[in-house]
Amino acid sequence: MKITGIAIRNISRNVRRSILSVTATLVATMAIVVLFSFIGGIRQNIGENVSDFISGNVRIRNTEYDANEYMMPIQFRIQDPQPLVRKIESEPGVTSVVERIPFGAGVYRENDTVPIQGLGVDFAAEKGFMKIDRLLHEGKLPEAGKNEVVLGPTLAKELGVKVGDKITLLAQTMRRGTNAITFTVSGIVVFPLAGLNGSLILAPIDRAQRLLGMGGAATEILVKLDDPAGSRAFAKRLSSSLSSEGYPDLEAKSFDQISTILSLMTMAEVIYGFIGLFFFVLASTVLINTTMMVIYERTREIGTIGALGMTGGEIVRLFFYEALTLAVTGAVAGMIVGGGFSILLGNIGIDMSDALQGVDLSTSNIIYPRFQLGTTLLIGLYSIIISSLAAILPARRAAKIEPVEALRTI
Amino acid sequence: MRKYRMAAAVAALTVLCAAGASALTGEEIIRKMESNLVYNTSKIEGSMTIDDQFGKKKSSFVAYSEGDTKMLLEFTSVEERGQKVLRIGNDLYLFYPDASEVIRLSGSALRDSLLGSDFSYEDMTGDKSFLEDYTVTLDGTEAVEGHPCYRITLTAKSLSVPYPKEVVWVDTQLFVYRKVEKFALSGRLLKEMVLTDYISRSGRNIPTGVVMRDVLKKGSSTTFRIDKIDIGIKLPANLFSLEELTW
Amino acid sequence: MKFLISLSWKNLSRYRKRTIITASAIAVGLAMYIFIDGWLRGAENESTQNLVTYETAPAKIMAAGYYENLRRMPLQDGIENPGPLLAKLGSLGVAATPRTVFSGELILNKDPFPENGSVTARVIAVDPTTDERVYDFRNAVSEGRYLTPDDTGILMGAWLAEDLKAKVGYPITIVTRGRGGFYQTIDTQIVGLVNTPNPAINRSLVMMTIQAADRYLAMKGTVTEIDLKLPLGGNFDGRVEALASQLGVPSYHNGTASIEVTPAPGAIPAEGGAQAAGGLTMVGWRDLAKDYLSIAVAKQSGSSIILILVFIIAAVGVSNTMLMAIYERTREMGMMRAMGMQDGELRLAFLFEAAGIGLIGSVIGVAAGVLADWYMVARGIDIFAMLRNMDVGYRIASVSHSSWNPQVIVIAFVVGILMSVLVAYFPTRRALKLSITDCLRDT
Repeated sequence: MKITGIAIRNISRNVRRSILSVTATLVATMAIVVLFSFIGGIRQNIGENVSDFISGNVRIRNTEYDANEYMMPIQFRIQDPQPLVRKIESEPGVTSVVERIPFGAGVYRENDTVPIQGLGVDFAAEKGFMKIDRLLHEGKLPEAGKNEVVLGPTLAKELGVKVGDKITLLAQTMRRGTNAITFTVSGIVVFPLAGLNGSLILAPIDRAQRLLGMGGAATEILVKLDDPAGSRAFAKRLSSSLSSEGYPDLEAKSFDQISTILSLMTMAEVIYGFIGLFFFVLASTVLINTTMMVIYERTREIGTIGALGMTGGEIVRLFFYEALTLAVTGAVAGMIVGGGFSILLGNIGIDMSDALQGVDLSTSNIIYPRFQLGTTLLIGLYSIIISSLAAILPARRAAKIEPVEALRTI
Repeated sequence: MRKYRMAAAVAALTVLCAAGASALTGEEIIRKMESNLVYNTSKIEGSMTIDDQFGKKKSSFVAYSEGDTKMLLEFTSVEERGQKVLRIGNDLYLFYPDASEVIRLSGSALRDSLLGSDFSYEDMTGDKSFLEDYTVTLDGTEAVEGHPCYRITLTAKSLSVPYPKEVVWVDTQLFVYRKVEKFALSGRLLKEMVLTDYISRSGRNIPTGVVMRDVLKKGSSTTFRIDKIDIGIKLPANLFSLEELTW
Repeated sequence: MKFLISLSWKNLSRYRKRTIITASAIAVGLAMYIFIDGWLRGAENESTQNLVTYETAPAKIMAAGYYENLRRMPLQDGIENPGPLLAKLGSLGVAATPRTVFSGELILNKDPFPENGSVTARVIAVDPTTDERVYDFRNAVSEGRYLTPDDTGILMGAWLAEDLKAKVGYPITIVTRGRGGFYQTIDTQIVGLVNTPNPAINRSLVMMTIQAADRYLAMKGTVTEIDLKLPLGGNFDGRVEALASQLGVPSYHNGTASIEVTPAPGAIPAEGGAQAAGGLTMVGWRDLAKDYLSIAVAKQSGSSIILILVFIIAAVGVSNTMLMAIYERTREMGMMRAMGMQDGELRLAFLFEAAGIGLIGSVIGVAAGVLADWYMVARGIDIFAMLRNMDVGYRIASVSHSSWNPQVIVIAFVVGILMSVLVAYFPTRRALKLSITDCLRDT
């Protein structure tokens, strides 16, 4: 008696039952694959947003700046950033380098100046960094040297301005004087981070320098690498070369060394870990459930073949093979369906705007689930193992019953 | 008879002289001090230097004023070049070369400090006369750095006066203030202003160097200097106007 | 009918294993659903609670002029003579407390502080005896003590103290401007530190007594706001409007003030009552939250993806086992029909069985879910203190709690039973369509 042969025949004999079993495995596997793709999408999204808008993969700042970061102390600056930017750009493994000046300012309104967050950027370079041209929703991007700005739609609404209107920004200069420049709103950009849409104004960096009396300085240089995984190493190398090459008061940090970002990502990991765990538990119960049901329903059958001379061990092996075959089929199908679904959603995206209104979790409004082959295969493997193993216990129990007893149950 | 009349006349004169010499009231001292400071018109070239935890910063300016209600100040230092401040009565207007609208300061915005110094915009508005806002008490005389001064305590008449109490030391000869102390309602000393320099011009004694020190924020002080001052000059008709400001 | 029910009941116990397995599929699915829903809802509620319990209160009454210039905190536009208004609120059964909020500069001196410095702060002056009717700071004191009515000391947010390297007992001088504009200094010391679930408060709070503030700022009884405790759920905005019209005060919502409300009978008359030049206005917490920070409370819909997936998995589990169970008993069904049972009766019997399984599953699932919820509501999970340096928008500190959601629990219960019945219906129908001999033939 070839056990495997019997197993296969059993499966095809009772198609309905087999299909049910496979379906359970398929759905459970698929659900987890989709969920993990979703989580993967969120994780990547956070990573991208942090990189694009907050810190890049590696960030260079004046060492004194971070100590007073909340004040945005522009006096702790990078004096002559251009040569440094060029130099880093030429390094291998570097995708893009930009200089920026974040600053606090107010939009002048008689009696009630509205505080906003300003960011002086090099718009040409930012096309490659935060992909600013793709964020443009209306109007056009500011031209270097012109008093033009772009801002998010929420802020535009709060200020009551549209493309073509003028606003006057008041700011404290580097030497604690004051200055004001009137800008024309040249366009509206929609940031993927909801919070920025209500608070951020982007201006050409030379205009920001003029407003703040900073000469040609910037307060940070952000670096994007081809491979973000190498951020730490890059930051370390960069930091040591900075001090030796005439920039003793600057330091480079990789994004995961910046405490605020680290906290954010750690918390995200924790939450997603929890959610993933839940799903695993849930899916596992379904798989175990189904398998056990199958065995239980066939107690009589087990009794029959036991009476016909099959040993307990052989019976267990038989049911194990059956379960394994069905599990493999279901898991593979589940991976394919789940993977297909993930890839499809990965192109369309899932709109989370309702849920994320006002929450500044650094995730975008639209999440693109990210299909990961490795993770998917692992999930499939897990489903197979759980389903097959779940067959062993009930099969053993059923095999131990006296054939007479087994035959008695209807 | 003539002898008696002469004696009486001499006696009366002596009494009058004596009275005239010693009976200066607090109000009169303040008035005399302030008469040194108010001009029909003036043009001042000067500078303000801030010294605090961030270092030293100097800003130079040219200021025109008419009476005590109109003033136009234009910064001439590199950092603030082109920036102007116009005061008309209690309204203050700021002009920035790169801004197409004039910033109007009113209400609590006036409490902001001018260029981060120890002087606020508020200090540049309001009636210059102490007598409007304070009741005056002459405490006596006290020397400040060897110079004999009248010590006068000023008590605010209402709660809307920024400094509820000030003590002024007015030089008995020159009638310039040698020192001014400004207090909060609690009695705590907030600011101290000290004269470092003065010049005499057209019968007036004009302070040309003043240091204002913030007593609570240790290590913070602002020095105000007048390098050149012209009084009684003819000023263009429309100088103190918004049009002139934006020109 | 009774026979059918007892038949179903007996079948349930006969096929104990199958019953248990199927019921457990339902139970797990429901328990997860209830738990996750409770947790997500809890996070949202907690965020709201934190905001309302420590920051904005459910609603506030302010002078219209004050609210328009909220950022500047103008003491001139306060609520003069709040006594009658407070009394009126009391008689309406609304808990209220007065507060005065002003801006000041904290001067820190070297020794005991590490170095000289100053920092601007928003100082909140409260009435320590009535403040706890609306807020909950007394229970949030982590070091030192709460304020006493004649206190001259201040409370400070624990994280602010940490940033400034301040400790209980340290002296601080507050420089501010009183009502009218005069300079004032307040020499005080830290008598207590406050650690609330609200990170924003922990990072910024400076609190003193309103009695002391009244003296120092020459307020002469004027306060800048009266904070009210109103229940949050349901038609909150309606509640605010109703109270506002009872007081004869316009309410301000979503950027527009309500139309001039004709004072209801019994409303405070202008003379002798609380007044302010330009009138008073009442504002609900949602509008206040918008002013203080740009947060809108997150909505539930994002979590629906997760809940849908949970539902799918659970549904599959249930239908699977149910289908299998029914198919396996085709023969049994054939026998019953052969013995004369009506098709309709048979169907009912099986549906009752399914309902029974559903019931058992629902009971267990709901019980488990409720238990998990109960733990999360009472104890919660500690998401450790790394929210320190982050502005998440969600106002949550270390411990995250769930919220009760009876609606969802009841729905889950019903769904569990319905799902069972529904899933049992189709295979039963199919089996009944077969001829009796076909049924019996199937082994």
